[in-house]
Amino acid sequence: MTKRNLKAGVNQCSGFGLKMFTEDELFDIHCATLEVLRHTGIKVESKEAQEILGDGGCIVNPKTNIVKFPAHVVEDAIRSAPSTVFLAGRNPKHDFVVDGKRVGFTNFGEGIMINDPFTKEYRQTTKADVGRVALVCDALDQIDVHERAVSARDVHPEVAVLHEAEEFFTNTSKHCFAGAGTGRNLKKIVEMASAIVGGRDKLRERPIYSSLVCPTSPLQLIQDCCDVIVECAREDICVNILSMAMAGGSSPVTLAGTLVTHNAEVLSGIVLSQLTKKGAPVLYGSSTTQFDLRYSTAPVGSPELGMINAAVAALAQYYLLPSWVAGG
Amino acid sequence: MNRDEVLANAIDAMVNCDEKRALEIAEKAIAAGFDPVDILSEGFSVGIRKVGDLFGRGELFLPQLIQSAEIMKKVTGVFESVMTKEAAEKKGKMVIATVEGDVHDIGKGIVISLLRTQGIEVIDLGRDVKTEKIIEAALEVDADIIGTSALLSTTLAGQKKLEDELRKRGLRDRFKTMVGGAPCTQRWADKIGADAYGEDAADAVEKALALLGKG
Repeated sequence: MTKRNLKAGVNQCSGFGLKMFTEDELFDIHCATLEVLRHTGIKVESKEAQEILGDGGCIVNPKTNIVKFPAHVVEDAIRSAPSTVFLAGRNPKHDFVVDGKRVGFTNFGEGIMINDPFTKEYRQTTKADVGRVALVCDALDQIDVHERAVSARDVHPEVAVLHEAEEFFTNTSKHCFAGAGTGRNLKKIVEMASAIVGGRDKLRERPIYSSLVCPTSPLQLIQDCCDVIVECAREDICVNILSMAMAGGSSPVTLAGTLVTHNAEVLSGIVLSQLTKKGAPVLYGSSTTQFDLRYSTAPVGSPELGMINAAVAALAQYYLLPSWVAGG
Repeated sequence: MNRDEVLANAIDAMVNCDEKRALEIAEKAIAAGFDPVDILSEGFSVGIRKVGDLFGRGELFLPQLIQSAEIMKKVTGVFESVMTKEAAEKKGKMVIATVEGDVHDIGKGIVISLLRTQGIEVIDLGRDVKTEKIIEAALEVDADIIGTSALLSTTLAGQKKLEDELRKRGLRDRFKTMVGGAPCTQRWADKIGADAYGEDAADAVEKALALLGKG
């Protein structure tokens, strides 16, 4: 038989990917972002966040609430945010690690109407639906982590997320994501999760819950968004900082321009997180798409969304940060 | 140039979003001694209404809508310096806000632009506006309609809060109310007792005009 010896020092490529940018192009986006962060700045509504950012080296204008971020502050935050994030499931068999180029899947999280599976009626979602959908997600192998899927519209809106937490924590033993909405609610969800795993310290070791916040495009971090980022950092809870810019609506009409402002928004949130507590886990998130200038709507099924997803993933990987892209 | 030509040019300039031309026509009209109120209401206003209609039909897009509103502002500015009496009669007055706890306002912005093209005076209170502030503003400007926008199912209740507050203060009959936003539906509007529901910007305009009796 023909002898075929082993090769030495080979570079290998496995899996299939979409390569959108060269490193030089990513650097261009990064530099443009630094320019926006340093010279235009971000409008930060929270006085507490302004203090944290100011103490960390940012330039704060308390009258306009505009915060400008020097490049070294931004780059330090990108460096200190962990590249590997451990998401625990209530059942350890569902533990999940987010890092590098690993791809995971989750379900979508903003449903407000449902086709009732039993009566076929098209109706508003309820607290019970939250639990039922969580149960289905629990059974589906393809879903690695669960995101609260639908809104409990039959409970008081100010505490809805707490009711939803009760439902998803009990119906799935996979890791759960849910936007807490306010710093106050975030603390309560942490209490609930701690009770489930057997104490606050146990939750730090095995975090069964992560939160979600949205910067407001263009270039703003509103009070609640700041509060949740700060609280998550303090509580060692991973927070998905997810922007949904709409190209031509709330960000430049060009995709590259949108990528820059989107990047500035997410990075500003990451800086706030890292300055609150260095090393706090974050995810670089995106639901950014284009704005339909004819129908005045944001199509989340457009090709541009797919392109932006790929671009965001490339950027996050460039920063060695874990990412989360739409539709999730 | 006779009156008909001026009006036709004004309308054309608006529909083509030609700021330079629009301002030229405005200046020329003033220089030639035409009645500014007449040129505004029968020329430029007709033009911008046409823009609004074309946008509603999907033939003109959002940038043109915004642009035409900007041009209208500038043209009105040019005329205001020579006008002695009130400008083209407003069809009505509306205060509009995104409800408390909600910061989504892009849709609201589009609705406002479109409403203004139809000659409705709109006072934009912004976003995350407390119910009390909305009512105060409506009273202060003596609004005909109060419009509220919400994008979150969790802030939608702000629209009901407005209805309840108005009733509580015995003010409900003083205003017409209109609601809109992604989680908002006709059913919700009926449930809370709002006078109208606008599904999108074009629908909002139709409903607003109907509420003002000018539809």
